[in-house]
Amino acid sequence: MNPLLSVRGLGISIGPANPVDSVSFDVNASEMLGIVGESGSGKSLTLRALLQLLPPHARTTGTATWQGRDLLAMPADDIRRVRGREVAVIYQEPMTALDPVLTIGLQITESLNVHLGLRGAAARVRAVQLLDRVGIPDAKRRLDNYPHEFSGGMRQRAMIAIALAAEPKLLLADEPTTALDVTIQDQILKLLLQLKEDLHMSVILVTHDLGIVAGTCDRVAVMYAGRIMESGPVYSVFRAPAHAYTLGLMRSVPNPAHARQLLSGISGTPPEPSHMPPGCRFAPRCGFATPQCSEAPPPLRECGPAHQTACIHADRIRQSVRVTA
Amino acid sequence: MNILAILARRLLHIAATVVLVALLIFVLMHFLPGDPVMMLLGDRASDEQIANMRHRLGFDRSVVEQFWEFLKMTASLQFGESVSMKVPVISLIVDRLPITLMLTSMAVVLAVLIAAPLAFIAALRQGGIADAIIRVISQVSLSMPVFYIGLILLITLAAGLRWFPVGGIGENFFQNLYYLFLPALTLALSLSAILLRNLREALIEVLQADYVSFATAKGLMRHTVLGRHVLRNAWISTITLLGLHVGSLVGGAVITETVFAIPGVGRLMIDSIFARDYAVVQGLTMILAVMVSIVFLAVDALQALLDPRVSA
Ligand SMILES: Nc1ncnc2c1ncn2[C@@H]1O[C@H](COP(=O)(O)OP(=O)(O)OP(=O)(O)O)[C@@H](O)[C@H]1O
Ligand code: SF4
Ligand SMILES: [Mg+2]
Repeated sequence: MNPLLSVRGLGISIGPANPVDSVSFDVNASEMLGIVGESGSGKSLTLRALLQLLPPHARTTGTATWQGRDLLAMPADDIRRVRGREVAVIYQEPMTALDPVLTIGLQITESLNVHLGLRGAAARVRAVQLLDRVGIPDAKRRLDNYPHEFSGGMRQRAMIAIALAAEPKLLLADEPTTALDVTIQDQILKLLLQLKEDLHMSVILVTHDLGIVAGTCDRVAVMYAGRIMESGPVYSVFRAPAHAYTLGLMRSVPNPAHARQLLSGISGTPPEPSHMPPGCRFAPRCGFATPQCSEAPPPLRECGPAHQTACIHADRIRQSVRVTA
Repeated sequence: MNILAILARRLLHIAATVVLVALLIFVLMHFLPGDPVMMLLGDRASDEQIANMRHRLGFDRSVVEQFWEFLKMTASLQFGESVSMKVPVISLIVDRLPITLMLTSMAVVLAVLIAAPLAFIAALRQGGIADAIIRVISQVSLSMPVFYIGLILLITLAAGLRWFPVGGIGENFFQNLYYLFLPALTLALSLSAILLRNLREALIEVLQADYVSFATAKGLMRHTVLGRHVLRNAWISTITLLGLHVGSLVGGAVITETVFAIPGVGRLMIDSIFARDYAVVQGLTMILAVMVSIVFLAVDALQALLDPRVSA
């Protein structure tokens, strides 16, 4: 089966910096792919690049094949028709992602309008159904509310309703729960899983939280300093990590419920996008590093069924997992 | 707080402003050098004549009494009689105010029409050549005095090219649109430079906002994103600024009306000051203060309409 979306060698440059470099991954139909990584690893840029939403001075290389066409090279009018209709996004902070001066109703109906041609009463009826679907009580009355009249969780539900108004096939969710309380996080994740089933939709879920990935995703890609370090089925990556960075991430999260203060287990800080180390970008912080690691960027290679790693010492990493386990 | 509460608060502000301005005018007039009685009667008036005039003008009563009288008169729009023109002040103002209102309204409209598109071009191509040119021009026009701009326009477009009349006003509304175009443009230029600068910054900030990216990500047309999401949010801060500058627009109108020989209240103000026609100056100052307060009120209302968070 062909993947729904196939990203190959995606690179992003903003001025002299290369915050994202040769990123490749696939998303299959009806699958939830997690992308995890520290702050600044390029997760948001990667998502935004797929819909040509980067700032104007950013440049992209590589391809992102969607229905036989390259999203990165689509003319403005074509990519506009993909946005929201075929591929939708939701952001981390619903308070800033919703327009503060327009009603929730208008922000839904304008999507219905542009993609489905629904107007007036028909659009309002549909908008009520959509708010209902994401679990907003008293949806009909809520239509005329402004974002600041909603609670944080309700705002996130509203943003999801808006994004999914035209029933896209792929949802790019950029840390949709990071700004929310833990209990509400759970509800929103359940909602996303539910909607993914109901709409036969695929989801790319960007998060800091390995616990969330373990609980919701089918596959995971671990990103560090703009590159994919390891990717594969969730059960395989978490049971047998084949990259020192993944291992570090897992060790620094003793309890998934406290995933917010992650990475205390890895010393040092990630490199600046303008001063990336040669070879493996994790080498300066890696306890397994050898001089060989800094010679050339290690490419992703198979290390198990559908499981890839960019670590040249994958075997040693796996051994150490077995020893400590 | 809802819109009504905001308006009620504003009305109170207006009342307070009126009393304060009245007090200020009263104090200033009282201590101004030059005796209006002497001005009116000349040096050779007899003591009796002087006493009579002082009584007629109420100068023989206590200061507090005079102020109370002044407040009462003000509230009922009775500003007395112009000593130089021998007509009630209020009828002078009623005569002259419409042309000034038209001039300043045209100036505001022109300023917005000039500033909005340029701000858009500059913000969308931030750091580009167009942006640089627009910023230099706005900087230059900001640093030029109103009367200087007026004279340049007068000499080039009116006297030189004869595209516009060099001054005065027409006989009806439509003629006035033509006669007042250059004066309004003069008045509009520095305001539009201020607006342009502010709107450009606001647009740049709004263009980077998450909700604009999200609106784009929904697949909306570019013009919908700009017109519905960007412009509206950017205007909110700029409208406040526009309201604040209406006060200085009144000051500009005084100069512009003088340069272009327009018989509005600005011109009336200047003439009355030189003639020491205190009653007219007082009445005008009061009326203008009230008008500016009303503009502030209108801006508040507009703000509340545009930004639902204000009335929340
Ligand atoms: N508009 C921009 N101009 C210049 N550099 C940028 C811009 N946006 C992001 N970057 C840089 O690119 C890198 C990756 O940013 P990105 O937002 O994709 O990280 P992220 O993985 O989403 O992090 P977080 O978890 O904090 O959201 C960062 O180092 C950031 O400083
Ligand atoms: S390649 Fe080398 S430096 Fe990079 S993670 Fe593996 S062991 Fe560490
Ligand atoms: Mg991010």
